[in-house]
Amino acid sequence: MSRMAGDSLWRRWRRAIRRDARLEFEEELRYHIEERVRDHIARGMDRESAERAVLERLGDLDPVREQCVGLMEAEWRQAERRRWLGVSWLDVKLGLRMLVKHPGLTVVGGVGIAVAIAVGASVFGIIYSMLDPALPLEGGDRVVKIQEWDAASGNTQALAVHDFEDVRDALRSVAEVSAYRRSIRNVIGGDGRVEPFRVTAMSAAGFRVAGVPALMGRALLAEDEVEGAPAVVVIGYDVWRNRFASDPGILGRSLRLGDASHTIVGVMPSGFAFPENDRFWTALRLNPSVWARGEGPRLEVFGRLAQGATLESAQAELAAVGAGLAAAYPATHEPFGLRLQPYTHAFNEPGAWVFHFVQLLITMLLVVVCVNVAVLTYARTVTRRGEITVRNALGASRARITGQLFVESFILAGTAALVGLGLAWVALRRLDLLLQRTIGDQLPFWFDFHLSPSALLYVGGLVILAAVITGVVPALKATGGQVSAGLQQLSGGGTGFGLGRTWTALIVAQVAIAVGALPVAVATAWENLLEGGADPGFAAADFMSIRLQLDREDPGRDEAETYERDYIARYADLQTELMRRMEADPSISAVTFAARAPGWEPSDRIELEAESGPSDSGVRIDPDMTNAGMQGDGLSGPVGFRVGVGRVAPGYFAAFEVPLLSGRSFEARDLDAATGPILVNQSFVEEIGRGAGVVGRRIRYARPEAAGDEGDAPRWFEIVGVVSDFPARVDPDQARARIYLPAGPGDIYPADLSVRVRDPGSTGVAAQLRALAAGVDPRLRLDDIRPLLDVNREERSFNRMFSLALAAVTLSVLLLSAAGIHALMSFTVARRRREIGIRAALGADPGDVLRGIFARAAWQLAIGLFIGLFLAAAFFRVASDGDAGLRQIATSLLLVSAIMLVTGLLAALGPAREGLSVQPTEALREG
Amino acid sequence: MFSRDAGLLQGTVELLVLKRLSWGPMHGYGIASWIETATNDVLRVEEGSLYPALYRMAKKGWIKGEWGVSDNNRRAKFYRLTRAGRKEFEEQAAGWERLSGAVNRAVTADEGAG
Repeated sequence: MSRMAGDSLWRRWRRAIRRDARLEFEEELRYHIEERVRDHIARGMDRESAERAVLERLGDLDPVREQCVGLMEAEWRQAERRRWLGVSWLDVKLGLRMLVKHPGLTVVGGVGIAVAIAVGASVFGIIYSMLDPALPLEGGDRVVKIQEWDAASGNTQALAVHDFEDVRDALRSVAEVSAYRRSIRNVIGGDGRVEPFRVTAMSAAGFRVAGVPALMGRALLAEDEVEGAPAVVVIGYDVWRNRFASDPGILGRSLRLGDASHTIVGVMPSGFAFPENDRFWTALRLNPSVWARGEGPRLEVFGRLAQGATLESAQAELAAVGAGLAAAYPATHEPFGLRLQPYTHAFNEPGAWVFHFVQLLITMLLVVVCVNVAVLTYARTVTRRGEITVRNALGASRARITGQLFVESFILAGTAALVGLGLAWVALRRLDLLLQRTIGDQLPFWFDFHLSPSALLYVGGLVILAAVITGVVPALKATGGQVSAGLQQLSGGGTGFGLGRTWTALIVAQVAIAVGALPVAVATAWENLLEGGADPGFAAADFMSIRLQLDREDPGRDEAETYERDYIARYADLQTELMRRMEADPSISAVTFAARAPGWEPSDRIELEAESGPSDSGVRIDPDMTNAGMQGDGLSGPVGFRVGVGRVAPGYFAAFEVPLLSGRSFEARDLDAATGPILVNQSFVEEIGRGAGVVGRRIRYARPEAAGDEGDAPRWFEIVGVVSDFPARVDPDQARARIYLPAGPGDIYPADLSVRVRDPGSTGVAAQLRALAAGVDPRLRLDDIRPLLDVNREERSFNRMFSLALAAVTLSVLLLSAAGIHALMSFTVARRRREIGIRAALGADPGDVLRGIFARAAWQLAIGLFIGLFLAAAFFRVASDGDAGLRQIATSLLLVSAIMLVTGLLAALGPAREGLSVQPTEALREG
Repeated sequence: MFSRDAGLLQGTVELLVLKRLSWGPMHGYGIASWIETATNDVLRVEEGSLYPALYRMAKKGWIKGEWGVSDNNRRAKFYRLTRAGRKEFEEQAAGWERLSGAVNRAVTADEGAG
């Protein structure tokens, strides 16, 4: 459409040029003929014979006319092109010269714009990848996902078995309605390795929705779904290549998934990971008869829009099916709704508006940066007023001058954008790698952070926006005055483009924003960056952290209760046996477990019993502590002390070699003790016990339900010992005080095993541990084997990346603000140069004059600082929930204020001294 | 191309135009008349050759046409030499001199010379 419009515009332009060329040629020729006729007449011919002679001589002119018009047209087009290129090339050269001539502005402005664009492009890349990703399948845009949907809350969930079958049978506008569910199983086979993988039980129809044929063998078939049919599995290309060394005779070999053996019947081609990120596909066998309606495992449902159906028509039909179900089963389906979406959209949890809002904020960041750069550019433009005024007077239009300044800014912004894009590219690559490493198997296969063409387009838009703000606005401002006035001032050397009060307002705002917003950002970034390199205070490098899982089946409704009981008992037995075998293994020096990795214990609130013990009437709580709780950590209920609550094996502290400071450590008998023995850490003693001995005192949960005490009298726990803080440093968001409750095998599911290995560097540790577990039971899975150091490191990697970005933005804004203050201050003082000169000429004491100038500058800075302090306090309330960062924030506040003050005053000094050295006569003439 | 002496070398019109314009701007008719006068009517350049040559030279960037007012107060298109045209003229003139001298020497040589 637009191409056609463009085409016809082009043709119309060509026709117009041709018409003009023809007219011009005719006029030229007419002059020629008339001159020749005149010549003949002058030589004595009469007009009639003269005209005849000339026409005879000319002969048939048509071919010549066509040739000339064609040549003229070509020349004009060429000239047009040359004019375009020639002019902008000159501007580009001028722009480049300006970049070199004003290196301060180039560096400060460039860094600011580059960082802002880097952040903008990265965020755009992320948002674009998440907002509307394409499903990389043939006709992927017609694949849809069907979910149960509660219109009131907006929540969606997968479908229950019966509902899936009803929807599949009723729906006409969606073909091949399929379902899948995923579970993790130990995959044993091929090269003999034991490794837990996600196994996807999927309808055979799902492969038809994907429309990708198997590379070898076959995909799943309807007969595989029949109860009692041989168990088969289709594997992904990577599995075939890595685990089976691309064995051409793979079909028919067996593969163990948990405790069930499957025959491999097909290999899918490279890159195929439908429906989410899958490598093993087994047949989905539904047994609806064992489930009541609305119960049973939930199924992810999808299909392909039937021929002729649209999203809207399919949604309408689906809604009708949903309404039918709701009417038929009011007991279980009230409320009940069904929703259908393009397949990939169903994986975007937050709504699109959240993304757009973030995008808007990021764009605003660029605008703020650009306004700063614009102030600098304006100050520079003012110093070029002579050049601008002369050019204006010589006939260069305002548009022409503005255009040139735009090109200059465009070059600055464009260069900065290239740097910014490079930064964004690196950041997205790193983020992608980080995500792949940490949660790669949970991300959908189409997920890919990259700079899409639309991101480049967005950056192009940002560059133009930046060039307009930093180039055009100052240019319009600077060329807005009367030229004659400008010329007059030029001869006098005065400063013509004043803004007076606006400048003061800008200085105040600049200082206020810098002082108000930057310290919190500086402190946050600093804290997070420090945290990443913190010493954990124990031999974390020797430990492996392992999540211990046991395969679960879905027992029908009749067996659910017994299954659950048996499951826990089996888990306890298997865990005990696994730990026994690990302890016996010569490569392992210690094994223990807890509910969470050290340092990541969940928080809760507790109350400490008063030292005098319970009174007759029941309980006396330490009177000070009811007010001691901290607000805003999301824990509701009565106030109390916030602590981390660890549930640990009796031998936990011995395994980590954490010193016992007083009392005793856990013993095996503590697991069943009615007194509820607990340990606390040193921070607990300092913060909650106020340094006094706490052994023998009792605590209880501030929320009785946290201890499972509903209805009963709240349970008390007795402190039996105090251990060192472990780990030495915890995340700043977490409580430092800790309590530890003893736990035995089976008390925690899944347990977090910590295994101390003698040779942590050896590569086969994970495989060896998994083989050990599979030897106990093939259903026992070690899902997440990581060096304990990495648990902390990876959890903090995201924080670090965020902090680095924040630090870069903050530093560039600080730099810009300092430069902005410098430019503003020197500019305003320069405007008073004449006044200073006259006062000096009239005999004023130079000290007095300087004091006057500084008083005014200091006054402006002080107002800015004052407003900034208020802003900082407001930010602080929003951004911080504890006093942990208070010192850092105070330090950065001082730092930022000092930078602003010193920069501002130094900037005032230069022009003020210049003013004092102006000759009185010169100063007077400047009017 | 030339009514009385059709054997002239190609590019001669261009050289003559460049020569005339090297003295200053002139319109098409003026250029044609000058060629006739300067060659004592030996060379007569046809309109059908002159204008395509002018337009080709403009396209090459040697000359530039601009509308102005003639001696008899009429609107006429004047051609002037560009910087590239001046350079071209110098090269062509030198080339012509070498060529015509060589041809002349050859044509006027006595038998047995060289």
